[in-house]
Amino acid sequence: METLLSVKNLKTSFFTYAGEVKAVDGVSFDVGLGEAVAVVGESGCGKSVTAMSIQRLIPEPGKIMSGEVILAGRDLLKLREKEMQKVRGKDISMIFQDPMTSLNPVLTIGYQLMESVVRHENVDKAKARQRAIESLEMVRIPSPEKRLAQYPHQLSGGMRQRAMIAMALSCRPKLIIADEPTTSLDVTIQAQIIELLKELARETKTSIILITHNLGVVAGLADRVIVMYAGKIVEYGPVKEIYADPRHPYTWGLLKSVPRLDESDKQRLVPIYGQPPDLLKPPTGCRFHPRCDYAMKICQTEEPPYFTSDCCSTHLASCWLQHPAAPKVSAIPKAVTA
Amino acid sequence: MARYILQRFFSALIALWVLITITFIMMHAVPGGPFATEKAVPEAILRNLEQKYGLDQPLPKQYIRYLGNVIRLDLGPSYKFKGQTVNDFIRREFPVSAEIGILSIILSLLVGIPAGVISAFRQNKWQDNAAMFVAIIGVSVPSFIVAPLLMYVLALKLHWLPAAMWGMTWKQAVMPVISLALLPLATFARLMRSSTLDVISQDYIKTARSKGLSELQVVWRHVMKNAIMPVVTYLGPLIAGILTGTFVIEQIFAIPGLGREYVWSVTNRDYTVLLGLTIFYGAFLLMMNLLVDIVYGFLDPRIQLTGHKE
Repeated sequence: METLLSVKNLKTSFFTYAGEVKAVDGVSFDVGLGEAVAVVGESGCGKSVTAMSIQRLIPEPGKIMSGEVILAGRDLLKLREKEMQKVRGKDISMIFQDPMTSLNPVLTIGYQLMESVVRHENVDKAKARQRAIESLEMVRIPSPEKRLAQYPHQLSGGMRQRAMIAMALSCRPKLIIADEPTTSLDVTIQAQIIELLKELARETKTSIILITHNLGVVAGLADRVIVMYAGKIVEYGPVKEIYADPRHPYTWGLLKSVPRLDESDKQRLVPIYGQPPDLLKPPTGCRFHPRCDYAMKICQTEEPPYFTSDCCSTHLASCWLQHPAAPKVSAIPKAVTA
Repeated sequence: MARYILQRFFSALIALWVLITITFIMMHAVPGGPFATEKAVPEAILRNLEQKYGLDQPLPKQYIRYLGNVIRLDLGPSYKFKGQTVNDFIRREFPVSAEIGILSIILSLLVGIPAGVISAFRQNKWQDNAAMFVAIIGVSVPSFIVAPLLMYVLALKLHWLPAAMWGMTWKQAVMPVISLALLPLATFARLMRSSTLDVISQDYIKTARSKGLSELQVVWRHVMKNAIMPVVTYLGPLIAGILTGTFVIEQIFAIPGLGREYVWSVTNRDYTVLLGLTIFYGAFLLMMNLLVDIVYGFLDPRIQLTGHKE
């Protein structure tokens, strides 16, 4: 598959009064053309910061320290702000978590839809309006002409998120970054939105980076999964592999904490005990070792490299248990095998 | 909308009536009267005067008569200035007060709003610190200190501007306008700063940026309309207060405006003038508040102006 976006050794820090917080600490991954990649992990693991870094929209006091974000051959981190503005909304667009707060309450849906079309493509108002209507039709919003004159508060949550998606699609971007697009929606609406994203991505051959902590959403949409923990990628592979043969104890923990329909009611969910680490003073060695049931001596001192497995070279895990000399633990958690 | 305005109009009338009644009672509760002077006035003349203006009648009767006149928009004659009515005063002096008032409101908006927005976008940088330093001075130093200071420096020491002479030269307006504008200017800057800070942390500003808008477009289209609300709120009573004259500034710069007239009417016990100007100011204030509420509806589509349903 042709690579669209390539993130290499991205490091983003926030400079707080207490010191430097390395929110993203050396993250590398690729997104192929038309591929959907999910980034999962707990709150504060650096998912959203990674997304905002790709768009170069890190708020103060954050700063992208180093790395490369190569989109179709261009390193976005080297662009000047003016050039970057031409990339945002045109080549890369974003869908945010909360459609209640992500739309400007005092501007009409139509205005907010046309805005990026007018900005990025040399079109007149009538053409922009036509495009806005088309975008709303694409996301299956009924009577789109009427919606243009409406304000966000006149739409339901699901409708607003559709409008957000329409906005993100309006300039036919190469990549959509969806930051928790369904978290604040009803479960029934969640399914609709995911289905919609899936269809649209297939129709328009748009690549998607899906940021979520909802593993159900991941299974429904993603081709590949990146598991992040404390600013680093801990596991990375095709979605089927991640579900069928997870390698990292953190991924095991994530999977075990998800309720499954095919489990009996008596099956208890197992939480991951403890708190994500304080990124001002991240643990030495493997960052997950203080919470890991299988931590060994080496985990406390040495950072694990990415091990591939015998079966496929595309599935990587940063865990010492994958070392040939490591003891074989019951790698597959109960909840998944059962 | 029309129903809403009508409702507000009637509630304003009630508010005005309460205002008139309270002012009337308080005014008459204070000892002395418009014709009490240091010089002893012969009893007969005093009685004559009181009879002429109806002050010898029992208070309830005076009150009813006055209300009747007000309904006919007649605010009565001045007791102190023969042959002049309160309506004359307003016609003559309101334009003067309004002129300085409008100028200072324009000045305070033009400087205060950009200062607040810039402060917010440069939060805790030197631009912010400088603007907020000036704003704190503006908010905390009263105009009756600013005005004499300006006068001392610009008029007496540097001789750049005249200290008085209203109407002779445009230069006369400079100092009153500045001293009048300082407080609203500082208030606008502070209101605008805090509301802008609030707005730029909102998700929809992130959305706007992620669309690739330039910083200026983000500020102009997405920040301003949301952040201007507190300023609009403050603008209503401010316009009423400043346009109907400010007591201190007009006194200091010898400007023949309504504010100065107001102060005089109190010391002169000029009942009708005092009452009349109070009503005028009150009506103006109520009108401005209504206007502000209507403007809200245009600025924020979530606010709908509708009357109560029965």
